Amino acid sequence: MTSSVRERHARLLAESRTAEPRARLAQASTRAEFLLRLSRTVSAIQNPQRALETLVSVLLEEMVDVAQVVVRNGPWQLVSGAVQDGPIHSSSARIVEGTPADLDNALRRGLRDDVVLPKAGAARRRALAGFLPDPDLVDEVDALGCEQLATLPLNARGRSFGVLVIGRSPGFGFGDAQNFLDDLAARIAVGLDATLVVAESRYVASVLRRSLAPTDLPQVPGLTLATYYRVAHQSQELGGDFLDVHGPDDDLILLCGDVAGKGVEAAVHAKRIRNAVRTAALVDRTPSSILGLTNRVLVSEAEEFSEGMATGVCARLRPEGRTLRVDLANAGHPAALLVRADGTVEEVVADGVALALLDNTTYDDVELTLHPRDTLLVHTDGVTEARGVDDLFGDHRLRDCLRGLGGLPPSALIESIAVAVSEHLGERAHDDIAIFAAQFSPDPS
Amino acid sequence: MTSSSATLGGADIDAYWTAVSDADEHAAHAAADTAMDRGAPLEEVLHGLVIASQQRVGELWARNEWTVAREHAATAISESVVRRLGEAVPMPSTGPLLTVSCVEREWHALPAMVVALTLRARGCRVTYLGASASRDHLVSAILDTGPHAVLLSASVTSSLPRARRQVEAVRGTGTPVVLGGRALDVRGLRAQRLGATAYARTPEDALALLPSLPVHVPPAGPLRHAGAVEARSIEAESDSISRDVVLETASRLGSRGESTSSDDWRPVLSAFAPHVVDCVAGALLTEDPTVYSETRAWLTGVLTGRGAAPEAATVLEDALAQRLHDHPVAVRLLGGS
Repeated sequence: MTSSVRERHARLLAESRTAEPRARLAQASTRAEFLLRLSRTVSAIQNPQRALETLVSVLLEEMVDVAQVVVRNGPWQLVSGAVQDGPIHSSSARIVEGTPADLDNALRRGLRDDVVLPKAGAARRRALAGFLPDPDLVDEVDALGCEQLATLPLNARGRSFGVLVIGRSPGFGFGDAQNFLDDLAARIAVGLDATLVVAESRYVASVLRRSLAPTDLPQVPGLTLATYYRVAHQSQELGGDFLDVHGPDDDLILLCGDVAGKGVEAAVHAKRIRNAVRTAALVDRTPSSILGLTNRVLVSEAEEFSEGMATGVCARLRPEGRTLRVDLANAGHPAALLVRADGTVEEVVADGVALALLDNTTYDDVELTLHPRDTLLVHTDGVTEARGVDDLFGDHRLRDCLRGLGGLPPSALIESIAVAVSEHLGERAHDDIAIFAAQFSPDPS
Repeated sequence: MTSSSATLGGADIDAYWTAVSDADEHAAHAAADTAMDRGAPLEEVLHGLVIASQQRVGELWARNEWTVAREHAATAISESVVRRLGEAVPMPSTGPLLTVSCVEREWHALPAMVVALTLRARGCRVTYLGASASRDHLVSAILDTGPHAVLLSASVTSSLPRARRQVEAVRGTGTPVVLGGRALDVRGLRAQRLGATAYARTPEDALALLPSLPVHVPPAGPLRHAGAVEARSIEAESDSISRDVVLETASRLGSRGESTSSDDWRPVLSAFAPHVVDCVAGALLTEDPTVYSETRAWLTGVLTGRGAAPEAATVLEDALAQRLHDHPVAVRLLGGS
């Protein structure tokens, strides 16, 4: 430990009862400044585990030689702890029987406590293990010769959700710093509680987000799929665009859609549409039938949702020898494009009413044949309606962009569109953008 | 390189290059697999085949020997090769938690992909965010995964102003940020001036400096020097600056009735003018005039390779200096190169 660390510790924790008023005032101001800095640092880091690690590292730099923070969040218990100049031990695990009993008690009681540690031997290690779940940390604290631990409850919103355990090197205790330590725990509790609330809502959003676009695309021999998915900046990371692909390798259903609205409502609605499409596909895999059935489901439940309207393209892909047969139906969505291997761009004309508007809507199937290196491209209106300096990106720019890309791998094709849209947008905000590309490229055998 | 059979040989490099230049994905996978099966280390395959051929692709495009489409096809194939090689590298369950990302509107994804895969193979738990990750996307990923550090890749110097904004965003979460890529200088000065916690030239360097990174970093303070203030103002109106400069440059070159000018260089000029403006801002932010002079030399080659008059880059520079007349630091930069 450097002497500057020792000095910093002394400034915050030296006995002040007997000191002259000026020194006490100076210490009070140092403590207030430290608490402010600590609050700021901890609240900037809205990831719980990182917040705990940062807290431990700040406490070791400025105040103590042993620091461990434990918080409970739902079924999870997060722990970070370290000794001066040692590595930070972190873990995140379900709360299980194995939580040390003393730590568990401290968490339940929510009261501060001072624990005088036995001098040596098995009793000392047992006492340490009662509070420190990490065996390496037990060894390190034991070796440090720490004589006492203070446990400070982390209380917020009327409940105790964590414990801070601190200790100092031999010869140093916490003397008359009780009020300061209470303040410290209160500040930390407020910061960590907010971080946990943020983490909880982020977790909910991430679960919903996962249902909006496939994370893994099926690996089908001869068929190359690629997707691009970007959510608008202002939409709380949950957009209204969605992609899905499902079914057996030789009979895949592709879905690209866009529901009105954004945020949690839109994501939940998009998830329902995906489910309806998946269910409908079990009945009849013809895209017109899938969209028709999906529409009936949505219309029948429409009054529950103020913004139920949605558009989508549904395509069914079946390899037939050296070609790929595509049946496609469109519910009010931007037209799918067929980029031939030679760069010819064809619009797939398939008109249909948007979903969830009218009862008894019927859709028509268009049948296409993809030859090797032809690419089917489905996109949402975030592509063509990307706003540039003077105008929207538009169909003409999309087609111009695609003409030079015939026969390229779908990922290259999609990325070229993404680059062109991004250059067009510059620093301007965009709407949700989703692109799905499928290319049939059977092995040359 | 030794002649041991376990290292990359000229035959591997030739096979890979032929595959990439023929846009033959199967052959590219086969070339990489052949080298791997013989025992060549992953990192050698990544650098010797993928990165080396990608640099060659960039040069061929710059000299107008390859079309953009051909460049994109080659890039897509190399990316698919890296993804495939990555399938054989499991994500470790322990080890440093890292986020690897490209700067916003930086579309050169391969270097970052290679860094992400190399670090994963060396035992790091890596989240790779892909090309052009927006600040929101990056911050979200940081909050969700809580990495020990973020590694940001910037390949082109026009990404430097956005690299600065990304550094601010990452440091706002208290997370250390390491900059790397060809847009930075190898001494790490540009990275330092943009406020990065560290600079890493290679994945190995990044790995070596991980233990020395702080657990948390303070927010990036504002850059207050005169050049930084000008850079912010230039970035705020970069659209109109680019447009004015393109019009002015085209009219000056066109009004001389250049018979040699094919239509080739004009779209390139329009497409790259915003990048030149961003490079000027990047040079000002980093207080490093070579940011601009490197780009100027590169652009001169690109434009003349496409039939523009030899003085095209100079005309562009004059037009830019004129447009930025009320930005004295920028004018000095443009006049002094």
